[in-house]
Amino acid sequence: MVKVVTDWFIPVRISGDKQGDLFGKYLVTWTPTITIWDGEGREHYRFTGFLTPEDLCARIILDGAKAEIALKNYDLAIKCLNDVTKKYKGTCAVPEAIFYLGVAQYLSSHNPKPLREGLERLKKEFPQSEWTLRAKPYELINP
Amino acid sequence: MITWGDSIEKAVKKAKEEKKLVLVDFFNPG
Repeated sequence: MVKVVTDWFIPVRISGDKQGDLFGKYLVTWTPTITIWDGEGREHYRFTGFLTPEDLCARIILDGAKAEIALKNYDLAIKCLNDVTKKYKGTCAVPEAIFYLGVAQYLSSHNPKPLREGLERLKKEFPQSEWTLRAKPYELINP
Repeated sequence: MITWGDSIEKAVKKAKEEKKLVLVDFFNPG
């Protein structure tokens, strides 16, 4: 957890009792809320509520990877998404990581096959996940 | 050990320089 945060992020903590004005400015209504920003000051993702240490780590890596997709850093995103699916098995982040792995691979290669492969994996491993539902249109892609 | 800053603006500037992302934890001390 420490290595993930220090290697990849500049960490900031905003305390409600000392900097409560920033809660209003950034529309934070409940704590804990963790947000991920880029170096241009753009917020990419946020999540709210308590997670186990393993789930928290997986969620931070997943959301960081999604931000890297938006920044077109596809190789880094793919590496991190693979890490979530392999090193954080059993965490809540895995189905979404599989979904975005297909997205990142498609965007980096313009080959739609990874989208279909992601769907097949989701159907097999997480048939009840909403991410399987979200990937359902990829059934139209030839395997 | 994580060294947390307390300024989003400073963190964003540093993130741009170091090509990193910013992680902001909004919390209420118990």
